Amino acid sequence: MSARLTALSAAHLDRLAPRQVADCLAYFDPDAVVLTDAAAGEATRATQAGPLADVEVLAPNPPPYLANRGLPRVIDAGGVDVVVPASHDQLAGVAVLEHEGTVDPATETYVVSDLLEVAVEPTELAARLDGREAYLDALDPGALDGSYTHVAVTAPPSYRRRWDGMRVVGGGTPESEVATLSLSPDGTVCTRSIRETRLGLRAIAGVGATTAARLRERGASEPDDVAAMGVPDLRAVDGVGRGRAEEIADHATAIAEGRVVVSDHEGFPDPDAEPIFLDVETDGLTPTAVWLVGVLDRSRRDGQATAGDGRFRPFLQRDPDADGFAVESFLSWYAEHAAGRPVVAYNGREFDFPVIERHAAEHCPELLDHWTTAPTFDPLAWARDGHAALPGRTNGLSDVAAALGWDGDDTGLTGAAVARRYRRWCRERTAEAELDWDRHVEYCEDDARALARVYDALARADPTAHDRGTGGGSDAGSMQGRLTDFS
Amino acid sequence: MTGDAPTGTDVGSRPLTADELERTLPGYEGQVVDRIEQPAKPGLTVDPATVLPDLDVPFDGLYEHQAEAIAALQDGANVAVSTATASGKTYIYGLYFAWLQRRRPGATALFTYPTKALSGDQVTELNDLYDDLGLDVLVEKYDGDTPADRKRAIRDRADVVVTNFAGLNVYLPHHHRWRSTFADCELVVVDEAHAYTGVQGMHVAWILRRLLRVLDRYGSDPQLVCSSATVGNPVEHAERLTGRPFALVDEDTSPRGAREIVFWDPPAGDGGSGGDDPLAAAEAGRSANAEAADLLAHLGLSGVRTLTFVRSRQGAEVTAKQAERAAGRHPTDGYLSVRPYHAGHGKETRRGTEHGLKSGTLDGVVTTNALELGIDVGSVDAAVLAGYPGSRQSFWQQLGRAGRGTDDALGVLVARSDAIDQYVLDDPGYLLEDDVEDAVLDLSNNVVYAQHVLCGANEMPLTDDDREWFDVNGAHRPADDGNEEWSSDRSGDPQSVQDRPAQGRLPSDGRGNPPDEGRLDAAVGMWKDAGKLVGDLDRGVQYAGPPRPEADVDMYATTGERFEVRLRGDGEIDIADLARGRAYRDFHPGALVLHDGVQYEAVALREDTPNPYVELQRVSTNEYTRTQHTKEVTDLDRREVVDLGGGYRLGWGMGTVNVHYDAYTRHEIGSGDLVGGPRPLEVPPVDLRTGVTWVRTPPELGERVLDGIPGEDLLAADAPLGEREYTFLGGLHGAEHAMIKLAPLELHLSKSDLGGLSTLSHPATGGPTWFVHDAVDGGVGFARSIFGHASAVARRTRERVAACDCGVQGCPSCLMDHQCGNRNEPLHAPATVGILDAVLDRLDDG
Ligand SMILES: [Zn+2]
Ligand SMILES: [Zn+2]
Repeated sequence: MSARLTALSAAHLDRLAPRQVADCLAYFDPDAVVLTDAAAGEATRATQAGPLADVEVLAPNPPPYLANRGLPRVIDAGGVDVVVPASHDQLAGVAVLEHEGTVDPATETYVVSDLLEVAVEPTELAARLDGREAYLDALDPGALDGSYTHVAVTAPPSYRRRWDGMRVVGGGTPESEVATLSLSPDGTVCTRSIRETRLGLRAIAGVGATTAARLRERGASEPDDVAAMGVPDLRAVDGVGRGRAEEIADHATAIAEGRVVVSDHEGFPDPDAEPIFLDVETDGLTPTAVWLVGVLDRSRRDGQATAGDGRFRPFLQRDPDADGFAVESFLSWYAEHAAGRPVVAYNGREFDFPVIERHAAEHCPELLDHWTTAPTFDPLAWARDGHAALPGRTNGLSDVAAALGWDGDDTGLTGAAVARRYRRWCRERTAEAELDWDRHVEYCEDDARALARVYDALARADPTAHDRGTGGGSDAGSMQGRLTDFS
Repeated sequence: MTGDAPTGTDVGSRPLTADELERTLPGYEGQVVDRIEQPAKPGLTVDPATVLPDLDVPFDGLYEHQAEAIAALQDGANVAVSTATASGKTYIYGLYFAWLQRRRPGATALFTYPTKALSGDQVTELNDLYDDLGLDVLVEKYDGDTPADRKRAIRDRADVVVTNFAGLNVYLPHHHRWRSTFADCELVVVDEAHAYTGVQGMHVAWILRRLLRVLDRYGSDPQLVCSSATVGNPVEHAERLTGRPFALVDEDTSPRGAREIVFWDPPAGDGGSGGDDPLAAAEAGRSANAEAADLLAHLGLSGVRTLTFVRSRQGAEVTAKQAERAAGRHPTDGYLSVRPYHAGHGKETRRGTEHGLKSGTLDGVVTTNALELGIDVGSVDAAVLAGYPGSRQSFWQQLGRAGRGTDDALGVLVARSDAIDQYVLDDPGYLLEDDVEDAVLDLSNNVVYAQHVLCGANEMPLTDDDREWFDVNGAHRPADDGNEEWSSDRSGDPQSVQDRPAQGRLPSDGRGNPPDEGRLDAAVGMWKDAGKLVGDLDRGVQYAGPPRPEADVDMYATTGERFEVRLRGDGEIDIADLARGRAYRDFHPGALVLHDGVQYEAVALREDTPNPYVELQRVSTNEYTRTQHTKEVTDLDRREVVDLGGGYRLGWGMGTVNVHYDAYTRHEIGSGDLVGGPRPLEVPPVDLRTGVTWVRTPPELGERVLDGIPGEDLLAADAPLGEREYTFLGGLHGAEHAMIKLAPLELHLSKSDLGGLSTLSHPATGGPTWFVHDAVDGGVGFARSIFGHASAVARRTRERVAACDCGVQGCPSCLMDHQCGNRNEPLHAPATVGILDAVLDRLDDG
């Protein structure tokens, strides 16, 4: 349970076609859209909302004649109250709302506004939260019973910071992405985002803004339409050569039909070698701790017995001081029981593999050779290298696996949120801060099984006739470094 | 193709001296004003076996300085080599690495060069060296030009990777791909280290620390070599760049032929129309480039292969054409083959030109400073410098390109009307003084620092251990609580090197200053507040911002916020992105911009978009524009104040410089006559928080200085100021201008990164004051280095202004400056001299 808010700026509304906005809303299915700047509000008022007609629209920054009176707007969704004060006067009304029982002090309440702004002064090595004093004066937190989180639409959506006890979360929009915040009753805030290039026809690898426009001129408005065109018709589009037509056709087909399209199996692990499927949990993007290495070691595949024993093995490190324990336990096990078998991880080339290597070198150098000689395989990187097209709205594992029919647990948590929890555990080391380890192990197993599903689909697919060669998908901008996406 | 020119195989018949030039140059008008003769000098060599007994070195002798440097490296020292061009610096680290690899097979090295062209040249030279040695050492270039499908093989296999710092900045986050190079890295070379000063130097210094930190994590603690042209402070500079202690090798024992250096003053112009802009009038005179073209033609036709250095790409193109035309007018009626050379040409073109020079098919090349660095151009007989290149180090480097080995050579400095050129012409002995300019590198800029802290965190989590790399000085604490009346004693020369440990890592910034405890904490705190870092130094601080923070590093700027330069309609224009101040000043709507010989008008300036830009449109006018500004210096945070007694004070600190570009004027090219404006400008003021140096005098100084000036020489009153006040202000303003213009005589800095302000009374100092400030947000250390060298800079300035034979209001050769926001008003040369005399008296008293 959570309230989902999708943030849109004037720049988004300017850049994105109405169809792309609709596509974005279909993907996130938000409870409301937050317009992050006044210009976005004007744009939507001018166009009578357009694609936003069917969704609740919150504008924390309306013109003054709308902002300076009455109580702030409140919506109740996903078990939480979201308050949208458009001015300091309205912010002062939060106490009234609490007093009247409009907001429930038992669950987290989220205050969405543009009244706070984070600013840095690098010459002084100092940062400020502009507007803090006026904000606190108006809010008067001492008089409130409930717990409040303050969503600043001026800050990027990955932003989390406590300023003098005030929890501030970013509710803005990053460049070239659309972000959605999930606000939970327990105060957990997760951010998911989708790149603009994954919206509308541009979701198809090889289709940029220009090609998308030309495809629309030819009557294609959905990936299905593009898939139906076929390579010869695609080649007739200006600026599309043979290689790209094939790339577009493959990916459109993958999306439209919810299956993988494999051009060749070059570089794919030997079908006789049963891989192990790996997923790691860390404390961040350049992790100081790998606290869970989960390994799925299947005993059967397609009804056939394999080398594995069918277990999911979590190598878990609960003790913040036992640095390297999870990686070391995993590598000891691998060296003894699975040496030489391919290790498969999703986005492993960019994240899991180098992270394990670095932590092994640091904490258990005696086992490093076992790791550096292990064959590794990253289905995402392999697909991007031009060997296959994956279905799914994004290249994220959950989207791809879901498109292939995998029905996983929706944990409601992102990798970034889990990393934040682990960091808190390390910092506070209280019972309250301790993670629900079993739950995280379950999530990890779920991801490893989703990965196995994707892997099997790739292994089984018949290569398409045409030879695309390498060169990679157009979406090579990698997931590395995207806090909202990594898992 | 020298055609039917005298082929001059007999060296004696070629004009390689001032006398011969005077005798043979058609239409000679007495341009030679001075000459310096440098005798030939034999080389000093030793048997290579003394230091490299187990290598089969394929030449007879090593120069002594090469052997000395190799021996120091063998002792485990880091070595700073500071010797002339063509003294064999590459062989020092090239041979040492061969020796090293013998002892530690599998050892790798990283060699860095400031340009890709130089990297390519050096890769060839090094691979040839290892071939000759019969060694299996693979040297590979790895940079932006490396094909993607080659990169992995180079990372995995090369023994020596040759690259540059802009490249390292983006490779470092992918360090795991570099494991095989990084884990065995035993030697890091920073070639042409003198090139890394100012803003670029700060970035390089931090990238080097990031590199050494990553290498440390892979278990490597490489030795370092910094090679540079002659600078005044080679060891200090190397230590500031890297944070490590260095041994010095600076005695050049390579041989040299005889060289004559000729000082050439172009004939004055025909007067031109004068007009109301003396700057334009000065430019109407015979330009140094045109004069250099004539010389090049004459030398080339006389069989003297010549390199001509000019200051701009456009200058190189035009001067090469002018030289060919001049050859047509030359009495020998010969055909001359000359090519321009600059970084704007493609690699193939540049290679072709280098080859033409080496093989002798070209008589001459006109180049920017692109050929100043060590690219091999074979044997050139003469170097003609069209304009003083701004530093003695560059001057010698450019002259040194002529006369390879023991061949005799000619150098000609063709002076421009600039103050600094005229200073050198007045006193060529300046060039022979022992001191060369100090390279100025200052790590206190927090804007740049904070960027690299983000990059470092993105590479590997930051922990307390990283204080070694990042708690490096900068944020010098205020000298006091801001009370100007407080005085420090004067013993603490901020530029002096204190005692330093002989071995190991410097605990500081390479300057002997203590580590700046808390700087890393402050930066981490700021970025955590900003949401770009998470965690703490105890367990590890991780990067959490948008991907690729290193992409925001601009090696030539302090902030990521830049204006792109676009061309209206189709087509592109090759102008690097602009800082805000530069965009407002030179690219505001209505500004006329001259770029590579083509005129444009700025038609739009947009900054309300994620990617700010300015838009140009081609025009053709007979006009140029000048931008006026008002300026304030506020919020002075005093770091050091020296009380000189009697109301004189010299100070340095951080200040807020507020510049408002508020109007611009249009002038006719040639006459400089005002043809339009001033028109108001609609751009907001720009605030810079930056380094500021100031000189404050007692108010009574005005009376004293003016008493020595005849009444008819006073400037006309300019309400509300009377003639005496206005004249005194002209003296302060002149001192400010001239000090900025002449600071490069002492310090290796670029004056375009400096600005100034003069006032009869400033609220922060309570008296007449002139300020010199860094024109870069966060500071670049230039103003501070002028504070540290105030006496020497003021003395040189006084000499030039006193020697200039122009009128009381100065000229471009002394006081006037293009970048003045006040149309060079008021300026008063005698008052400037009087003020500088008084200040020098005080400075020299201590
Ligand atoms: Zn003058
Ligand atoms: Zn001025």
